[in-house]
Amino acid sequence: VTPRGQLVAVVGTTVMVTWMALVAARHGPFPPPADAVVVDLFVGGVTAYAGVLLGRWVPSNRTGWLLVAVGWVSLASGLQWAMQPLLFTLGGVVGGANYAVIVHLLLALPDGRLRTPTDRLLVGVVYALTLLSGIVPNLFFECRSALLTGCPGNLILVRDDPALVRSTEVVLGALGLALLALIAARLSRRWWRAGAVGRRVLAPPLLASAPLPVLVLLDVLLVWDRFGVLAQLARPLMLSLLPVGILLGALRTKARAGEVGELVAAADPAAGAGKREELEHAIAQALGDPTARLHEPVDDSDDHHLGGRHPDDGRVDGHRDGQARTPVVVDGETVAVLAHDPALSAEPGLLEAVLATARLALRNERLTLEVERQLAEVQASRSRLALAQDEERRRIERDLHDGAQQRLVSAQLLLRMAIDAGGDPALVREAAEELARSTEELRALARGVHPSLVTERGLVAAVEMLAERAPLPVAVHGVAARLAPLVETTAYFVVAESLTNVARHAQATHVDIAVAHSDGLLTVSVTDDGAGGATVDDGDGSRRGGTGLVGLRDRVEAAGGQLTVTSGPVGTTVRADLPAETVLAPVTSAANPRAPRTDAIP
Amino acid sequence: LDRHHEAVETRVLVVDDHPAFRHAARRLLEAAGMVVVAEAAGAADAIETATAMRPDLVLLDVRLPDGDGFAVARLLADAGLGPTTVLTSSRSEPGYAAFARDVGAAGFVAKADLTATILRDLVDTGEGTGARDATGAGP
Repeated sequence: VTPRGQLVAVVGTTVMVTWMALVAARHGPFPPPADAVVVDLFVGGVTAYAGVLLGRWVPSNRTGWLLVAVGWVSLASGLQWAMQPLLFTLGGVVGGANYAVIVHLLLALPDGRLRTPTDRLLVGVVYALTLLSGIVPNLFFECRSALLTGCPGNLILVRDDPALVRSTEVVLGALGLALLALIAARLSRRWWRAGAVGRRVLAPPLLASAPLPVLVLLDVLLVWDRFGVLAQLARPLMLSLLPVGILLGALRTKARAGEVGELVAAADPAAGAGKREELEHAIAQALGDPTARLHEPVDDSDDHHLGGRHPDDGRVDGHRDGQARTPVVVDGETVAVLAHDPALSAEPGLLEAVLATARLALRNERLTLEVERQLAEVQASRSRLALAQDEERRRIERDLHDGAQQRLVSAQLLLRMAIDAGGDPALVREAAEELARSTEELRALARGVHPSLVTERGLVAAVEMLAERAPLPVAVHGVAARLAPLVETTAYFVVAESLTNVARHAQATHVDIAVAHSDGLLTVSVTDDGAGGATVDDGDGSRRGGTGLVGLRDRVEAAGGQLTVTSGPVGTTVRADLPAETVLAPVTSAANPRAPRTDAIP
Repeated sequence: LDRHHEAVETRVLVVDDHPAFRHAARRLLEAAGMVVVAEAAGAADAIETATAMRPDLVLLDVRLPDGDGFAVARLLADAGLGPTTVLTSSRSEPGYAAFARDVGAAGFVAKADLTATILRDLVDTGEGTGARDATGAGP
């Protein structure tokens, strides 16, 4: 139902209700059964307005329109009391058509759309029969006795024949009852086939319309008069049950699906929402509390609440601005505070449902931010690794060029001179010395590129060698089995780089290196007693700068590990935790070549 | 061909940031009868020394700590100071000889292939044009 349609429905209903009220005022008070005008006014008005309301609540549901139609038809049957021939005739034809629209509505539950051809045929037949029932009896009905106030004249009167009226009414009534049985069967079938959710939707309108067949039966049998005042009261009550039932059903659905659905939709970042304001708005909507606001969590030490804090959930009922405060806790941390009408504390179920959704949304928000942060960090780390690798290659090329290569060139030139000089031993000796120095430089360079000792003898042996070469006393503790090459190399470089840093910056007198391997985790730590103050992060958590520690951390993280640097005013500990499964040392199988092959597989 | 060179001493400036090479080159060239009148360790130093000493030959390393050997060679050629320039390097890239001629040098010789004879050949045939590519001259 569009806003314009809603306006038309409201204005139309109001005009008709006003007109009916004027008619009733002009003619009343009526003796029974003439107060039917009041009944039509009441039932029609209630039904039409209920339809408008439903249309506003659930615009996608056409049931609202059908309900408005039921109301209008009920109101239109009041035209019978108009003192104008055309309106009077129209009222006579339309009177009773409200049942047809009610049948249409019931068959079109729950969304106002007829689903099957059978349903559409059935509704068509009902409308046709209703039209016949409105027209045919009136062809033979002179209205002289209808009202005390006189008769404006029946425009479609053929001849006055009360007996014929009676018989056509009986025939049409019988047809109507047969149709009623069909419809009842159809609705029962639908009820039995519906699941729990379907029944929850169908129950209120079906229950509310249960008395209607009785009403129709009594109408058809024309026995109302026998029940007197009771019947006069029962009729509008029974007819009003339908819109009330439909509204109640919609309320139930809306309470479950509408607000919560909108809230969940607003909480779903995939739906393009996920903004705080939208979430706030959806929460306010769901709570029915336009004052509800999501606040950033604040340190409430300076918060002078008036009310007591709930011991269980930290809720505060009375705040200085009159709003209650309920913390939204995600993963043990208060990520937001919901300020809301204190009266909502009386509806803990609703509040909790809304909070649960809010938590979902905020957790989503946090996770999204966290994932984005991690992705950015991984990308930065990856490009740092690539940069470090490039720089490493340049350094190796430069070292080769400036070191060993120059010495080799010198040796070559010296040897050529020695040859020219007929094998001058002094020149040959000089060349040999240059060659020895170049060999030593190449060895050092190769060690820097990859420590072959790690590959040959394992991490601890290689670390002990580093300790021996260090310019200050270094103690090495711990043992480790042979591990995956990447793990061993990474741990080795952690130690090597740390020792270089200590020698360069720390002014330390002693270094302790600990190597431990247990539960698939290799832990290597290098602790000095120097100046301290080392750091990997530069304050804001990002890792810029070109310190060796950043490169080291990238390297450790690329191997799936974690590097922590603890540095106080005195001393620094660089610690790497690396996931490492034990790999059987190649020595084992070499020492026992007859061992079955399967032994070598851990 | 080499005879008139033996009569006239060739005055050489050796430009390289590695003392070991400067030392070896000096001994090699002087053993062959050339005179190394000066050594320079960088680009700026090379230009200054070449301007002051007016050597006949500049043996110029391609990569210097404060600049590019090719640029130094072009500067020397443009300044009209007269020396024949031969570029050298322990790297030996295929394009170096052509590069060297482009910047007005006599040619290029890999450090490992350096001999006084090759230098003299380059000076004779070169003079900035058509220098022999001595890159692959070694065994």
